[in-house]
Amino acid sequence: MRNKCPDEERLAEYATGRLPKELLPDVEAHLGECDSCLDEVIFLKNLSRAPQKTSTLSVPAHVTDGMVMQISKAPAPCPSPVSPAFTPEKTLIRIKGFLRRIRNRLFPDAFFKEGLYALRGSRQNHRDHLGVFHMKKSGIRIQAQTAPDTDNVFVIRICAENPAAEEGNNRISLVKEGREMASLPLVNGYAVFEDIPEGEYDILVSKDNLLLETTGLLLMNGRIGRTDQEKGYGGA
Amino acid sequence: MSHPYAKEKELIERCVKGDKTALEEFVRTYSDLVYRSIQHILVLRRIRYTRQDIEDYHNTVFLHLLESGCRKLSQYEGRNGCSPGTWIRTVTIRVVLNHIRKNGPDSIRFASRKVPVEEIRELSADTADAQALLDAKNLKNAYENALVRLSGQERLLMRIHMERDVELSETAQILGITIQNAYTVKHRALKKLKSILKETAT
Repeated sequence: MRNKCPDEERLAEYATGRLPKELLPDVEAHLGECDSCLDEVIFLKNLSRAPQKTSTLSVPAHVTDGMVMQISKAPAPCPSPVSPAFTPEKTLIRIKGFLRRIRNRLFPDAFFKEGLYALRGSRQNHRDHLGVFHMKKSGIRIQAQTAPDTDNVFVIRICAENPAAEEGNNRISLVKEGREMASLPLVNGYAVFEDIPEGEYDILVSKDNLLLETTGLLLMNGRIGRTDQEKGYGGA
Repeated sequence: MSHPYAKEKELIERCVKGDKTALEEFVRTYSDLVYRSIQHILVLRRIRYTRQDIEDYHNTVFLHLLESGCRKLSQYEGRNGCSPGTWIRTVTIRVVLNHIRKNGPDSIRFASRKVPVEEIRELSADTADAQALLDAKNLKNAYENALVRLSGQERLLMRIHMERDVELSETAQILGITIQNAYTVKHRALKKLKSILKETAT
């Protein structure tokens, strides 16, 4: 799994040999996997030696003046509203995020049984193309993701988050404009809808032929969103 | 002990607060650095460019730094003695390379010229041997899989020296090791790769 790219300062520290030794293995491991960051380090190293190797033109006065003019014309930035650094909500979110990171690090496969796709890796690589939603009442998780190399075909994976959700005869239906496009039973707590074209869908969860919960899902241009309009399915 | 770049940090802080004099001073101070860095990047990438291209990138970099109330600029901390100049250079590299990666070298005005289809090597009859391409792809996959089993430093050396054709002396400098050490790491990495590839072949 690829880690998040280090910020510019971290790369600059590495390229100038100022990176603390304890951080070196992490950065080196990342550079071994990430071509973009490795290119940046090589360029940075080359650039610091470049003045002796190649001659370049200095910036023409009109370029700097143009930029300065652009800044002076721009309205003064409004100071951003100052929100307190610690509120109970923010603290709770931070604690939850921290615990989730620890859990993922310690038990990388705890939530994904064998045979299911490497979703954690996908989340890292396709940050914008993965949506994860929870349906609290029925206790299932919906993960929608773009199919490889496409922006308009999606894969939707459903998994039960707790043993209770696996019990009974669960069925997941994908509905578009009131018409059922696909329907799958939850087998061993999992169901996968493949090759779903973009559009607005409703996901219906039923248990023992009774509608339990619905949610709206918007798949568009590689983006995944959740819609919560009332569709009048009744039972949910 | 005061911060080694206290003056520059103070200038950046004033910029973040929206002080227009500070913003002007910032642009005038780093304009030349950004402009020259862009030229170096394009030269090193072997991309031909016009002055207009450099000016476009120059403005893009500054806008990236100063937009949304200097959000990017406010990220500079000066950790471990990292100078603002080096940081701005890194930001410039990231902005330019990301733009080229996203839009392709054709997005550069000078490079946006059409190539006759018969000049494209991959399409010419004598090189488009499907089996050879498949073999090369398989070999590349085997190499990639073997590479994962090397240590971080060995993998990095292979990526820089072998894949990007950077001379070993330069690779050693990038990795911050001596040239003798680089030879040792290279030797060790090649030996490991050979044995892994042999093992997978059998």
